[in-house]
Amino acid sequence: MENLAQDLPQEPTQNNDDQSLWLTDRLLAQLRKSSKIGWLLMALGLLLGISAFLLSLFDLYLSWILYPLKEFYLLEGNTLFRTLSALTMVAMYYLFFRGMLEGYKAWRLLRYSETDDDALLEGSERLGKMFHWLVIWAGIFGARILLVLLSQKWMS
Amino acid sequence: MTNTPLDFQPEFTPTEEERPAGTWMESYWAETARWAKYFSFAILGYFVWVTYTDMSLTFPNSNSFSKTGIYLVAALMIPLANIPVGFLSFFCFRFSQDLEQALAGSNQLLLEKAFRQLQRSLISGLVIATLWALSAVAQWQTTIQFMNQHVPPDHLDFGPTIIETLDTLN
Repeated sequence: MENLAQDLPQEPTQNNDDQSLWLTDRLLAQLRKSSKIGWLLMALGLLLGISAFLLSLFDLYLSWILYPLKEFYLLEGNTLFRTLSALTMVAMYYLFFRGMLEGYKAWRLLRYSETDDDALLEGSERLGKMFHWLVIWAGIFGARILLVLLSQKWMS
Repeated sequence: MTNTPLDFQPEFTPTEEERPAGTWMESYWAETARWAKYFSFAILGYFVWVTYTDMSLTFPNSNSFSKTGIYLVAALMIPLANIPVGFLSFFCFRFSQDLEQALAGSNQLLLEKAFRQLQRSLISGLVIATLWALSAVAQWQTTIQFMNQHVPPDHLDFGPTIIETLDTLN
């Protein structure tokens, strides 16, 4: 029973221990100030993401229509690279939108956290998730760049 | 006037209304600091790559660099244009570093400093997003121009073009 109790999340402590970190008025005001910029940035990021996704879809449509495949053989020509490129593109945008949405929700919650402790907690949790998704997005973005470089080398 | 050491930190005394952050909040901050650090490294990688690509496009061979002064201007302008990306990476790293140290040493002042760094990184992000928005407008303009002018070759059976389809729908 003791072990189980240790694993359960602990209630925020209400002691006056000097060694703990505090939610000072200055810190909370700073968070709320940042949330205005963060919220705007996430909204702009979402709009830019939609715009870039539509442009990428159009590019993909053009490339598949201008260089159509008579028969689909994955390991012939650059079919493998084209397929992987399309798949990584979808994955990349999914992760980007996931990150931006988490960020949008996080900053929105932190913006209204003055009177709501749950919003403050959830907003802080989502902030970590935003960075988490954006790191994976950056990884896929890097993989996609490598894929393009590899395909160029392969075709030359 | 007395001499004070450079690493002197004034003591923090919370007011009556202020309360401890608690273990939940601290664990969320620890998680945020960890991923923010990885993110700053990823952005740094992007900064290096984008600067290298721009440079290699501007200077396809090293001889052209010494020939004209215009390349020197370009050599200065390219890193400058990418500077917001560098700032984003730097402030994000400082945020994660300060937050980690604040959590490790229960340093309230460092915690507040960390969130100031986060705000700076958000401002850098906003500058980048604005530049990207301008670039997106230019890209859409080129795409719409291309769609209007595009006449498909006969040997490729495209069906109606996008503009024709839109006209039919209207």
